[in-house]
Formats: sequence, structure tokens, C-alpha cells
Amino acid sequence: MKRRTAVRGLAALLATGVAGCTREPDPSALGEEAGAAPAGSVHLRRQIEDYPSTLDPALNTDIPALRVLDDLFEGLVRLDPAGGIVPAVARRWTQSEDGTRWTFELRDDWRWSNGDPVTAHDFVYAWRRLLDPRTRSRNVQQVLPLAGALPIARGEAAPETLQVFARGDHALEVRLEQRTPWFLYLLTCCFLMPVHRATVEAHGESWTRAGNLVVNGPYRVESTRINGATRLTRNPHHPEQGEIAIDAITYFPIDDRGAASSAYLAGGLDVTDAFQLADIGWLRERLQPGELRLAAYFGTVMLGLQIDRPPFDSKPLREALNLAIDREALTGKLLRGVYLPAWTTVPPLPGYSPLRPEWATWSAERRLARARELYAEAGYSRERPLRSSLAFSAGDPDTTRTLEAVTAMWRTALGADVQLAGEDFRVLLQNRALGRHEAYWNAWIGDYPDPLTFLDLLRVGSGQNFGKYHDERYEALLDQALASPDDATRMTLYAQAEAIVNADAVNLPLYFYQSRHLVKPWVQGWQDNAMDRLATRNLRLARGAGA
Amino acid sequence: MLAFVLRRLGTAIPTLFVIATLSFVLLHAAPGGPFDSDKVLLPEIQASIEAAYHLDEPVLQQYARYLGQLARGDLGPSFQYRNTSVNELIAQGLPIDLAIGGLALGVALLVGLPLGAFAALKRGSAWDRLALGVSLLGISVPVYVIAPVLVLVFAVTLQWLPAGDWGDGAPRHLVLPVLSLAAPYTAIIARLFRASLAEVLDAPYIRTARAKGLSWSTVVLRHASRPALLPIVSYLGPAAVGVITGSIVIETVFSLPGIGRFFVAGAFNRDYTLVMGVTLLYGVLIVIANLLADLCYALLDPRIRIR
Amino acid sequence: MSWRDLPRGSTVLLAVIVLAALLVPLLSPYDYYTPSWDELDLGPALANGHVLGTDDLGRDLLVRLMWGCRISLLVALAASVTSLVIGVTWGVAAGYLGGRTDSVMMRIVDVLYSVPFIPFVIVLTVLFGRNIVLLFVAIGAVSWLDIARIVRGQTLSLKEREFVDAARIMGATAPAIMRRHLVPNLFGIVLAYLTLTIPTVILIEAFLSFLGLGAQAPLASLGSLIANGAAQMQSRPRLLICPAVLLALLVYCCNRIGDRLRDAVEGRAP
Repeated sequence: MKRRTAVRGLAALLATGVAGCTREPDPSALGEEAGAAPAGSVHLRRQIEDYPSTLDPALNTDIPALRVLDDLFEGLVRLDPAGGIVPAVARRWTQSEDGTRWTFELRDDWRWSNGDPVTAHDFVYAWRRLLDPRTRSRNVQQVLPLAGALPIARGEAAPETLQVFARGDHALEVRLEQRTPWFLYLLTCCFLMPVHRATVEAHGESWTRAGNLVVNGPYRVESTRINGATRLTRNPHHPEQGEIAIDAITYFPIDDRGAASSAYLAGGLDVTDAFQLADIGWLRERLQPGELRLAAYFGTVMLGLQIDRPPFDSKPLREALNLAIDREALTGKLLRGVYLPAWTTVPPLPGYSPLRPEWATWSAERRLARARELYAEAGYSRERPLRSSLAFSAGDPDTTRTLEAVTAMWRTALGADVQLAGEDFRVLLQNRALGRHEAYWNAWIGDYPDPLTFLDLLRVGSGQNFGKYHDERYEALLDQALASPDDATRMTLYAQAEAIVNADAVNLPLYFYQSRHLVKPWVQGWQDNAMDRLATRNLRLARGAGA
Repeated sequence: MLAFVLRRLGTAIPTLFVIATLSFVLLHAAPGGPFDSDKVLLPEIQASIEAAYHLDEPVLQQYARYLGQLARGDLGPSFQYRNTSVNELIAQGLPIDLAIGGLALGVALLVGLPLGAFAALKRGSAWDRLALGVSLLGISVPVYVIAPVLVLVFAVTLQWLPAGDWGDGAPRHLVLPVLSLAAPYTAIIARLFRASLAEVLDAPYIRTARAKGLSWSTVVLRHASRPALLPIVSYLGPAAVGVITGSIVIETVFSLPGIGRFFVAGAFNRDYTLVMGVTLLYGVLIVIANLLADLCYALLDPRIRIR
Repeated sequence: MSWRDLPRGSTVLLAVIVLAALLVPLLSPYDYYTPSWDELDLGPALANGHVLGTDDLGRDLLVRLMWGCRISLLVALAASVTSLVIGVTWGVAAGYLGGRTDSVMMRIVDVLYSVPFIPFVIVLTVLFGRNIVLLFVAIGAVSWLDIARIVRGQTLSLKEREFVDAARIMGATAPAIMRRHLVPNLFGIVLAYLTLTIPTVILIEAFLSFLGLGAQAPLASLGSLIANGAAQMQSRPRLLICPAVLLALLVYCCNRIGDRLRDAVEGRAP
């Protein structure tokens, strides 16, 4: 009996194996299996690095959910593939002389996915809801430029006092606290999307579930599965049907980058959101040119130093550590050219190029000699070395490797003994906020494409200014920049402000992020942009995809 | 029999209570709260979030509230996945774990038992030593080494099978995860069965049966299998436990939406209720598995029934 | 139980591994943490002294492997000893004291048996930091149940023997009897189970390292080396194969030795 069942079992196993033997699985067949896209429809499969924690645009703060939300909602304006602003729900707009009053004229043919018209009232409702303390949104900090926002967020004023008005169904007037150059970009962010009032009022917290969610973007939700695939299909009520080439999208949450690359190579994905640094040489060999995408991403990785107490209250010490880091070896050799070295905090942006301090051009010997001088000036030597610890978020092997290299550089060049202390992300944040770390890894991705999102970090009162950095000239320059009417003056003032903060070596920049994607050759229309946002409506699949 | 079952269940209740209390204590004593994020919050918002999840109450009150909920079968809301209860998450993820775990144990039995029997029958020979060696290797190589190697060979290079993802339960998505998980248990079951079958085959009554002219297959299948299977059955309890914890790794490598992944993510993200709920679930599963194994054991061994 | 009971091949191999783990880092010119920019990802080459090549930070792979071995063995030993101490104490006490105490103590063991310890260990290490010391205490606290049961069984049979009666008549107290007479007689079985616990603990530690808990960079344990290697398996298979083979050999040897010892003590033919 046993032997016979064994044979039967073995046969069953073999049968499964044989049935699974198909070459290069056809993308639409995979979709069919999953029951999402009917045969013949155009189906895209994208990877995101985690399951979207929420599909409520007011509440979302993470990137994976942002990818999905960029396909589900469209605001007054939207981003084109290159990252520029183009009209969406708003047809036209004007602003007042001083930049504090904006008027938007809305299209009258825009519909929600259940057929209801999209009106200015939907925006007013959504923005009031965003600021209402009962919504508990964590994006409130970013919309403080809206006039009247701060008292509402504090619970001191009713949401109706927000200075945003619907002048009829198709006109919206917005007042700002002061001129905000990146206001149009803010309008593309998920938290300023319109929200369908009736749905929220009918379903409360469950309004984002697959059966209830009403959206106004090119796609709507077909099904979701926690930690599993999120499936979107075309929204038939979207007014720009002709421009949307892809019928269905499946988002797969894969947090392991190696597994994501494997899935891509095995033919299970069309686009990935990242790949492992360590695999880059090998991937470049295996893939066609144009599949592996690296592009400037508006973010910087740096080391933060606690400057309000020893040992890092000593400026020569901070400068010494800064000089002792060989950024070119770090990014060129260790990180294989994936990231760009950073000598300053603000990454490259159209209209703003990062400054390089003078010592960046020195030879290694000169730089290290100067570093040792400063180290000695701070009172340290190889016999009396600096002892400290560097905290970081232990999840990402690339970070670990980088910091191992940095601490090794400090040890070799100066004799400084800095130990690595990995912590979980949440513990790190908490300890950082409480000022418990002397030195810590810090990465900042810009919230909007303007240098201020980085320069703001070290202003008095900023939630990220853990060391309580305070420089009068810095503050004055930034205030001036905000008040200046044209971009060129503003950028110059920003540059001057940045020069101050870089010289003080409060944050030691290491490298600028690059966005990393793998994109199959049959996916067309992909363009890399600085904020790394590309909605699926901009993409097309070439004929005979997957064949 | 009934008394036996009731007695075992009696041990289960204090177990679950211990688990619930231990996990509550651990999670609340630890640094890092569930809502820290690098988007700095206005203090009012932070307070409002904590109040909504009752995190501002004194710890004892939170504990009492939690126990009360448990008694009603409510595992609470998840902190990570807004507007989803832990019960829902478990309902979504559990079938996947049960499927993969069950299939893995099935494969382990289907392959391990014949292997062990073969080695026992050929004991002392080179075949036997080979089988023992291979099975020891199966135990020594961790699942998270086997799994990526299988993916590399079968998914990326040969492109026969998908590299991961649940695919709504399609069989081709199950093959690699099940095989990876089954490997060490196949080895252990083979070893165990070989040892116990060899011992049984040495017994006088077997020799008598052979002397009477019965063939090996009849002897093995009808007379030797029952007593020889006893250690296997009692191993199934711990095997089930191992499969449950092993599935954590399998789900990570193959991106399966099962409970193991929730658990790890929940631990890292301080999703208190989720972690406590899943730990309790594991405890329940273990108790059930052990109970079933004991029942099978009792069915197989007449001596126990009489007692 | 004597030296002859040990399986020759496995014992020798284990001895070689342990010796290498102790000596190689001392003898090699390379250390395990200094990156070398010009020597990234080299293959094995005797010319420059990198017998197994270098890893992705230019560090010598053999030295890191041996350090990893040290850490894994250290954790395994510490955890096993911890579980041994707890398990033996518990088992001997329960077996000797008998009656209600025994019943209660074993009931507690039963309850704890069903507690899913791996999840707890994960939670512990996640919450309280990636500390090596905490790690082995946590693992040790998880593995003492089996030993407690076995020891209790042995104690139950031992306590009926004459030498225990004699000691009692002479007025020795219970703790003294347990300590001086029972424990030494348990030596054989305890040793056997110790050699079987070690591979389990090594695998548990490797599992935790795979999840990112355990040994902190730049320190490495076999588990974290394997985890790193698995992540880069497609581009640098050497980084996975070397630690995986070493781990497999280590576990294999310990299992073989433990099997033999247990058979010898329990009087079974191999």
C-alpha cells in the first residue's frame, strides 16, 4: 500500500512539474490565471516594494501606495512623464501678483468612477477633511502653506475656516499664507486629491475597500488582497479615454529586491521599482540596454550629527570627519556608480546645481592631511581617539555596507573608533527625535521639487532639526528667498544659505539617490524624472508583448 | 478517549493565557511605538492617533481591555493596515499557510516514508549509508538556502516555474515553496522511519512471519508498519510546529501573502495587536497539531487506548 | 561510553573546523572588517593570499568565514549551556522530588511546549536590540524543555538505586543528593543531548540572522553570511556556497557525533 501511494504521489509531483513547463510565460496568460484581465486586453504588471498601507489619499505617506494612488486619482493638475505640470481637472489657472491668491477653472466633463460629476466642492471637502484633526492625517505638515491651515490642524479652528472656496461648481479659489513656488507641485500630491463625499459619509473608514472606493483617475480598483496583488482596471468614466493605452494593471508587493529581480527575469513582471545594487553588473550583462534604468532622484543620504553636546559640538571634529570620507571611492567603487557622490545636501534639480566645496577637488593626500589637522585641533589623536557610535536602520544591506565602509575610512585615516549600531527603523526614529544618538544615518527625499524642502530641515523649529542648529544669517537668507519674486534670485539666495550650512558640517552628505527600475523593452513611454513618479496612463505596451 | 482529549484541552487554556500575556508584556515594554514616522507630526495629531488606538491609557487597562476582547474572539484592529482587523488578516492569510504547510508535510510523508523503508530493508548496506548521508544533509542545509537556489534554477534559468507570488493558488506557484519547505522534514521522517522500522523488523514476531513464508511486502505493510509508524506520528506534532515557523522564511523568499510575513512585518513595525494575534494563532495551531498527533498515536497503539 | 564510540570522520572534521576557526583569524594578515577598495569581488587566488577570494567590500572571505564560525559556535555553546543548566536543574528537581511537585513542574513544561517560541525569540530580538548576549539567552531559554524531560526520566530511574538510598540514610539533604550523586550520573545522556542541541541552536541563530536579527555588522555569523550570500546569489554564488557548505558540515558532524553518543548511552545498536 505504501509503495503504491508513493508511486502515485511521485507521479502527481511529476505531472505538476510537467504542466508547469512552458517557455517565457505570456503576460496576458498570467493575468487570465488570476482572473483580472480578459483575453486580449492590455495588461501591465508592476512591482511595488510593499503592500499599500492605505488607499485613502489624505492619509497615505508611503511610496508603494503612492504608485497605486497615482493611477487612481488625478487632481487639479498632474505630472507629465518628464515631471512637468500639465492641466488635469483644472483647465486653466491664474495667480495674483503677490502669489497668494490662485483661481482655477475646472473642466465640466470630469466624472467620478460611479458617473457623478467632479466639482470644485469635492476639492473643498477633501482639503477640509485632510486638515480635520479627526482624520488623523500625517500629511498635514505639508499643506501648512494653505491660508488658515495651521489653526485647523491644531484643533483651534473649524475646518470650514480654510481659505479655499468653491465659486460655483467649476471654479476654485485658493488663498496661501505666502508665496509658495512649489504650490502647483503640491497639487499633484496624493493628499490634495479630491474625494467623493457621499462615499466617505456612507462608509466611514471602510470607504477605501475595493467594493466601495470611488475614484476620478484613469483606473479604478478591481480587487485587493492584503500582502497580495492589487488589481486595477480602466475607469470608463475618465474623460481622456483615448490617451490611456493600458487596460489593466496588477501591482505585486515584493519587498525582497533579489526576489523582484528574479520575478522580472522569470517573466512575471514588466516593471520593477528597484533592484539590488550588488546585482547591477550581472543585470547589465543579461539585459538589453534601456531595461536597466538609473536616474537622478530627488533625495540625499547623509549622516546627521548631534551638535548640541559633545563630542560633535566641536566644529573642527565635524569637518575632520567630513573630509575623511572618500566619497568617490564610496559611490564609484562600493556602490558601483549607482549613486552620485554628494558634497552638499541639496540634490541636483533643474535650475539648481549642487555646490561643491573647495576641498572636493583636492587630492586625497591633501584632504586627509587637512582632516588630521582638524582632528588634532579638536583634541584627538591616534592615542586619544574619538569614541562614538553611529546608529542606522538595519534593514537595507546597501546602507550597512556603506556605513561599514565609512567607519572603516575614519578608522584608517584618523584612528577614530566609531561603532555601528543597527536599529529598527521605528526605534531609530524615536531615539533620534529624543536626541539619544550622537551620530545617525539620515536620508531625506524631497517632498516637492524645490531646494527649500532640504534647507528647511535645519531651520529653527523644524521637526528634523534634532541638534537645534541655529544660524541667524541662514534664517535671514531663507526668508529673503521665499519673499523674492523670481526664480533666479531665489536660487542664488538658496545657494548662499546652503554654503553656510555645509561649512558648518551639521549633516555630512554621502550621496544622492538615484531611482532604480527594470523596464521590459515592450513597455514604451517610460521617462525617468526627478521625483520618480510615472503614472501608468503615460505608458503603452508594444504589439506582441511577451511573445 | 474523551477524558484524554479533555485533559489535553485543559492544558491548552493556560498555554494560551501565557502566550497572550507574554506577548502583551514584551510588546509594550519595548522601545519604539507603532506610529513613529519620519514625517514629523504635530503633537495634536500624534495624540489623537494614540487615543484612537487606546495607547494613551495605563498599561493595565490596555491589558484588561485586550483580554476582554480575546474572550469575545476579537483580536483587535491592525495598526499597520488601517481599517482592517487582525481577524480579517488572519482569515486572508491562514488558508495559504495551511495549504503550503499541509502540502509540505504531505510531500515529506510521501517521499520520506518510502525512503526510510527502503533504507531499513537494505540496512547495513551501501544504499543505507547513502540514504542516511543524504538525509543528514537535508537537515543541515537551511530552507533559506534551498529556496533561492531552487528559484535560480527552475524559475530564472529554466523558466519552468514562477519565481514567487501566490497567483491565487494556481498549482505552478505552489511547487517551489512546497518543495523547499518539505526538504528538511522529508529527511527527518526518512531517518526516523528507518530507525523505527529497523527496530521493529528485528522483533521475533516478524521473523516468525517471514519463516512462515510471508513476503517482505506483506510483512512490512501489514505487521511492521503500525508499530513502526508510532514515532513518526508523535513527530508530526513538532513537525507541524516546524512547518509553521519555516513558512515565515518561505513566504519572505516567495512573496506569499501568508501569516508569516504579516508576523515579521508586524514585529518590525510594532503592530501590537497583529503580533499578539498571530502568536496566539500559532499557539492554537500547535495545540491542535499536538492533539491530533496524540489522537493518531492512541489510535495506532492499542496499549494506550486500554489505559 | 568511551572514545571508541565516537564516529571517526565526523569527530576529526569537527576538530579541524574548530581549530581553523580559532587559528585562521590569528594567522591571516587580513582582518574581517577593513574594506579594500581595490580588491572587491576577487575570486580565489593563492597569489595575493585570498584563499577563498574576497567579498563585495574587498574583505578576505576565509577570515570572515572563520570569524562567522567562531560567533556561531560561541552562540551555540552559550545557548546550549544555558538550556542545559535550566533543563538539568528542572528535570532533576522534578524527578527527585516526585509527587505533586513533579506533576506541577511537568505540567508547566507541557504548557510551555505549546508556546511558539520562535515567534517570541523574533519579537525579543526585534524589540530589545540586536545584542549577541540577548540572543543566546533567548535561544537557550527556548531549548531547555527536551533536556528537562529526558533528565527527569533518567532521574526517576536513578533515584531508586542503592547509592541514593545510602546517601539519604547517611543524612544528606535533597539538594546535596541531587548535586553530588544524581547529576554526575546524568553526564552521559546530557552530553549526548548537548551535541544534538548545538546544531539546532546553530540553525536557529542562522535563521534569526537571515531575518536580520543576530550578529551586527561588521561582525558576521554563519547565518548572516548565508543571508548576505543568498541575496547576492545570482551575481556572486561563492558568497553563498562557502558559508552554506561550512554550516552544513558543522551541523552534520555534530548530528553524527550526537547520534552515536546517544546510541551508546541508551545502549542501542547503531
